[in-house]
Amino acid sequence: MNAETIVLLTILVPVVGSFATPLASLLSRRARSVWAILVSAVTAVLPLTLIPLALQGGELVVRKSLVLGLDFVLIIDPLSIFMAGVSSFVGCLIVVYSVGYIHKEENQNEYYLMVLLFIGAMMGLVFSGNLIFLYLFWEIIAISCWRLIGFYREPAHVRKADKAFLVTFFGAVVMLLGFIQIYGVTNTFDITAMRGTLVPGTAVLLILFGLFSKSATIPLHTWLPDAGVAPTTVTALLHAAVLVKIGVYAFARLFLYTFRLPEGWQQAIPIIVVVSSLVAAGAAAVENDIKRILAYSTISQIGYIFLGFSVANAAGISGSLLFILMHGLAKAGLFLCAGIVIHAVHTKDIREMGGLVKTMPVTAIAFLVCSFSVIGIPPFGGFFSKFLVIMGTVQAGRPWLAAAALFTAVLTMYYLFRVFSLVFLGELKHPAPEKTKSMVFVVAVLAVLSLAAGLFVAYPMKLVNIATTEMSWWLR
Amino acid sequence: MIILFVALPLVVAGILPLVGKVSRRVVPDLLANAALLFLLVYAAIAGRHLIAGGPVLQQLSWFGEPVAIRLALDGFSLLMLLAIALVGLAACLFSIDYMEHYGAKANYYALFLVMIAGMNGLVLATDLFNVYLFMEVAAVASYALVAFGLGRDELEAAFKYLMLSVVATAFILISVAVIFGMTGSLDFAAVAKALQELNAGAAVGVASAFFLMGFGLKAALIPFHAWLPDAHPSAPAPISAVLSGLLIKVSGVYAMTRIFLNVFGLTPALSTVLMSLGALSMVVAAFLALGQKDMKRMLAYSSISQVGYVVLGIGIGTPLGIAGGLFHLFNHALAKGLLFLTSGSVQQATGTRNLDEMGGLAKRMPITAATNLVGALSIAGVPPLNGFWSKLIIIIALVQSGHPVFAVIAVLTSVLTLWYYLLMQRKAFFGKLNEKWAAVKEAPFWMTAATVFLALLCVGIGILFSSTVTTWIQPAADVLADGVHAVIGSWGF
Amino acid sequence: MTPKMLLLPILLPAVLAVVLLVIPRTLRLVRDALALAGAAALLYYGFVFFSLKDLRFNVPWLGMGIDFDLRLYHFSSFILLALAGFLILIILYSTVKMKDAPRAREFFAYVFLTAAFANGAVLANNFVPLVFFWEGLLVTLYGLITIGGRPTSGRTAVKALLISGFCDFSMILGIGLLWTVSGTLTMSQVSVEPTGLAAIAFVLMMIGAAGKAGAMPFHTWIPDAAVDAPVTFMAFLPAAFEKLLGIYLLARISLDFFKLRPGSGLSVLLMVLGAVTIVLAVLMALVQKDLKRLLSYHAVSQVGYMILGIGTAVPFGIAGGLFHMINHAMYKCGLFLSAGSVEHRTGTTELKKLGGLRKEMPLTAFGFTVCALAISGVWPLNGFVSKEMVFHGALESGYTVFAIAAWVGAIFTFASFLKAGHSVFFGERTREIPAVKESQPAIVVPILVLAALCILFGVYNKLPLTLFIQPILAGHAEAGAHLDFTSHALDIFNPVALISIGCLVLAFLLHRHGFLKSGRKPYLASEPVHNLPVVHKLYDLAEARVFDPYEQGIKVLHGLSLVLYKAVDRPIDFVFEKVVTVAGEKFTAILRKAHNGHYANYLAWCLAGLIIVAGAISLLAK
Repeated sequence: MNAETIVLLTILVPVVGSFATPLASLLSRRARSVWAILVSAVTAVLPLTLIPLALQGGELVVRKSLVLGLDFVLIIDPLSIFMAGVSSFVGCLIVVYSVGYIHKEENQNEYYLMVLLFIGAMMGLVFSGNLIFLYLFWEIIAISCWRLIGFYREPAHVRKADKAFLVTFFGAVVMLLGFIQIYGVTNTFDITAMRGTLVPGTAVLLILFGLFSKSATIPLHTWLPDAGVAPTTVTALLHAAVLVKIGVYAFARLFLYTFRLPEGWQQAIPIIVVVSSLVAAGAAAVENDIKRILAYSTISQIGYIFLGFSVANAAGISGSLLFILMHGLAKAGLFLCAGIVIHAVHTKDIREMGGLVKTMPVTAIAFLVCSFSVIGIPPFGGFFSKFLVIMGTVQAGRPWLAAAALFTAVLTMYYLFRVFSLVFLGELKHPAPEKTKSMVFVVAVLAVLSLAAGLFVAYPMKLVNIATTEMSWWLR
Repeated sequence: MIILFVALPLVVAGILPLVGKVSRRVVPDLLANAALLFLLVYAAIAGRHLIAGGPVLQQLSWFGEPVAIRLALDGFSLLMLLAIALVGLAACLFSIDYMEHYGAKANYYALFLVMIAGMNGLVLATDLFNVYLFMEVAAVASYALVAFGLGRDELEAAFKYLMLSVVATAFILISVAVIFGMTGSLDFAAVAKALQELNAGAAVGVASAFFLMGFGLKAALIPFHAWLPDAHPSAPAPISAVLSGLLIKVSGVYAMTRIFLNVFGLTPALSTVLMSLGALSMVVAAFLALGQKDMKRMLAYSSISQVGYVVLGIGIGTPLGIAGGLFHLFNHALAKGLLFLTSGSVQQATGTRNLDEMGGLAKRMPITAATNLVGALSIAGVPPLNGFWSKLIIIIALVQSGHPVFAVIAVLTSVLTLWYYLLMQRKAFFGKLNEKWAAVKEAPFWMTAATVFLALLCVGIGILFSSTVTTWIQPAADVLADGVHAVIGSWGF
Repeated sequence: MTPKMLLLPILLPAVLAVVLLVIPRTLRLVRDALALAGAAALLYYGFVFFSLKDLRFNVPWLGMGIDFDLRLYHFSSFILLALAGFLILIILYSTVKMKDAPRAREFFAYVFLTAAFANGAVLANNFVPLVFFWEGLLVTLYGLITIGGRPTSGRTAVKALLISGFCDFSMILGIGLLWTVSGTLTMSQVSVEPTGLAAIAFVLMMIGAAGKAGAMPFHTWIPDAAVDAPVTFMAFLPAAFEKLLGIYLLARISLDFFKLRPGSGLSVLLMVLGAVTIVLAVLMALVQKDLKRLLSYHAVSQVGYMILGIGTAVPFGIAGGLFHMINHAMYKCGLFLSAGSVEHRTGTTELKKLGGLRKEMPLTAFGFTVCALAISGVWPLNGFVSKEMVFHGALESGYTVFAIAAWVGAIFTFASFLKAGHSVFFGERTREIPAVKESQPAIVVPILVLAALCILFGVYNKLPLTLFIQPILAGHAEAGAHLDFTSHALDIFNPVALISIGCLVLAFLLHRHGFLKSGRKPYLASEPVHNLPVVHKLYDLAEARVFDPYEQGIKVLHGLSLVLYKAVDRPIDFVFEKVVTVAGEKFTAILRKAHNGHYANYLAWCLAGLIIVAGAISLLAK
């Protein structure tokens, strides 16, 4: 199989597979679960087969022309392969976990359909080399995200789902305006064709609206904590694997790979994202709902990813790319641990939990490990990504921002250990054991991966470094 | 044989009441649907062959004597014929089950086909008087159809509709008279030619304003819209679908576009007025839709808002803008038809149109819910559905022609649109099942089939937008854009 | 010896940690044997490496000049050896002390993991591996404190983590700045003048080093941990490992990475930090009523001497600081282990409950006494020598005030150890504690070894000074003449030493006064100082943690979080939740009101529309 076929399959397998899940369910529930896992596993494996290609560097562009310059373009380069690999892999783990998590709920067909569609659209987005197709997959993700957030169908939940959809849609259409403005300048939506041009300042503003709304950055972030009403698997998917990573990925694709940011924005964006990161960390320290805390934590960490990309030097960019991987693993782990806990104690309020380390030791350790990784403590993977982002920020001559980011890291430590202490330490309030094997297995895998990603960081780093050099053409 | 588009439905409409005496159900169902299916196939397959070499003109004659009716088929007409056939067929299929309890099915189909014939005729007409004539044919049938339920609301709505429509047609007639008086002709081409030579600014201005009001009222542009939210919801669902999906576009937007672009020529002034009216309709109606509790009223306001998009797109006057407007017209016809049909399914299943009383119907009516979702997202302009592409083209056209403010309005309105459709989804389908509807069942076969048909079209066109644009939209837009060039170039106020 | 061997001190304990973690509880003897064997192997390799001195291992790691770079040279091999020495003592001790602890498996695993990280940090020759190993210690720090198993252990563990984390993050920032200034991350290549940005880098990195060493104000978790964590932990990390690492790094910062000049602002800053740490911590130590807490404050106070010594930037002072580092590690470790021995047998370390144990636990008492005298700086023990060197260094730097502060520290150090020793081992036997026996050999041997080393390093001080300390300074001391250990420093009859001895006498008198005044209760001997008018209030506030930067910092963090949440996050959400929706509803309501269903009304709109359209067309056409 050549790279083009693999990429097309990576997109089509989950998309087509998602619509086939209701058919699989006609056979049996088990068949559906197996089908879903199979599809997601294939999706996870396919990008991995492209890694040798990525390690060679260079990019492959596939084009199919359509009307009005809306050509269907695929970019196969280290950046897209890396991103596809990370998100499909985490997505696959989450699907496995789902089997245990939602096996008693209603609307499972829709659930698996949307989750697989979600992953498929992500793959499409990652490889898209056309702004309009980027937007298209962007919105498909928004649709499935909307359905999934409202999965439990409670009136309040559906409202939150609507809020999430509306805010992200608002951001996205504003971004679309930005795309159209760029089209006005370059007369094309093809990213590869507009590479190297200077992007108009207003277009940057408009596009940032979209990126920030999707990646939940201040001031368009509040839908994300609210989206915590979704099943935990979904929140994990939103936070760790797919949704919030879209914004940062698009940022990298647009403002690093394609355009050069105008000077003013180069100065402003790091400040905005650091403030966002700080505010979210503050909110996380105040909230009592475990999922909201983790959601704010995501917002906070996303700020780092943006920061690394926006300072735009080798250390920052590679740090941010690595961050996508590390945060994906660790945050998925945290959410899925939270899922196990919530499943067992039937509350989300951390003040009503306690002492669970005794009844669910694996979950507790996994949570601890993932917390360390998110905070950025070695030997766990999160350390390297955060460290490099900070280094990049300092090197870009913004030590104050680096200091603020580090202060945020201290806050992160504060609130995550607040959660850990309240939930797992202290007096045991709900003696509930760890239940489903597949769930515990997945969190254990994620914790081990968070550790392994730190110990063997040189391997992902190789790919990250190549992606960094490939995309930052102006550094060469 | 262009005449078939008008004659076939008329003939079948004539036969139907007679047949109805023999068979109350099966034969009328079969006949009406067969007629529309034929029209669809004819439009989709034969139509493109007919106009392959350019527009075709057909002079009607009576026993060898030419009469003053000439029909012309070009890209624009063909697009409209296709839309009419598609939505008409879907509505007709839907009627098989839906109209069961209304009774008098044969009469219903007869009226329905007369309305189709009127619209087809209007689309094919080549002179101002025939436009007026066919418009009235379609309108009269639609008055009857709105009142078909014979309930108090239906009658009142039909009356209001009738009264305001009459005002509109009166102004159109005056305007036609003025034009005739000035040019001595009613034929599009002849009038256009004569007006170029005439250079009578003020009179044409007044005539344009009258036309604008008349067609604007038919198209339900704000502030001429007030009849629509009463009329459309009151009609039986398939009729609402045709009214909202087709009639306002054919007798309003199509006629307006044809006359302004191909006959009068789109002056900058007219363009500004059209765009402003479009934008105004878009925004205000979207807000109005937001406040509705009645599902069909919400849809009706949404129609006004979307017609605003269409007019805005066409009003730009650039080829891209026109293409976008027409594409949106086509997409909206499908999607809004779909939405009205699903609302009919819901109304039949639950007996209510009040959104507050519904809830969680997706559990009981999954297909209806899914198709409704497709329609809603399509109109809101969410990719990859068809509505997205047409809105995209309109917005690109707006930005390219230097109207960023309108572009921003259009974009923000689509957020509003999504907002009220999400409201509808949340209250009707998405959410906890209202215990009251625990016994509700999915809609009968033909109703579901009709909605699935339209939903698949929405999705299909969204995915194959590129070939749709090149095959259907581009020729239509070319006709209009050519007209613009031909007329604008030499004539103005 | 290939360069790859340098991985051994890191990988061996790391692998051992994993193995120890999975060995089932029932195979306790295997576990102990394995742990001891591992520690012995590390000690053996410590000697091997110490004899090797020069070795470099370098593989590419993350790119961008970030290599996995390990370098063995005199300083690192010395620290490596010292770490291995302490490790084996602690392990030996723990085989008995932690025998029945519920999480003993974890304890051994964490200890070896700590050793792995510490060895890595010492060997690192690139800042990134340094930070990697350095910050990795946070994980084991957290784990080890929670093993204490008390209700407040978790809280203290988080406190330790946050404080250490803060310091480590500061260091990261400092390293970032240093990278920007120097352009390289290879430690052996960095040497910059501490001015401008580099000065900030210096301070930030210094915070990292001082925080690890436990200097003020980053010390406050140590007294808490003394109560909440196992005593072996205290002997292991705050007393030995962290001091060695912190001072190692501080020395490298001041000697290698930055050119610290005597009398420069940064030098004074360090000295101030040292002096303040000495005095304040010792004052807190003086009034403690619990042996472990008392020792923990001393662990803080003694860091002050080391920082002061290094801060003088005078070769003699630096040598003193480094010598004090190794000395302190020995006697403080010994003291904690003796405290643990007492706790092991009696079940308490409260001074009030203890007394007269010298007869029942003579060996422990002996070890404690030697170590206590050493820490107090009594001739001829090692503490005396290193403190003298620090005093000399301080005087040589020209800031007499710091020497005075150090002397004041010495007075209270001795006073508090008189109190402690008197309360626990001497004085009258209390009735609260039943008869006890001397602890097992595995507990006593480490104490005695450490006590013996204290004597050895004091009496034959030239041995460690020439063997360990002097080569560290080689190449840094600008005038070798100053480093003459044979002259004044070690001589008891010189003015500086006499003042020191005077201090000790003062301390004795102070203790005697307190002892008599409190009705011959040794544990109350410090009360006269405690009850001084203003001092008493200050002590009360300190006990209430008012001066604890952590407690205040947490309040600030919480307040700041609350402000960010209430003032930024919620208002933004309010805009989405309320402003937008309400505005939409309001506007809609107005529009709906206009649609009142009256035909005339609608007709009027149509006509008005017509007029406007007509007007607009004609207006625009003009």
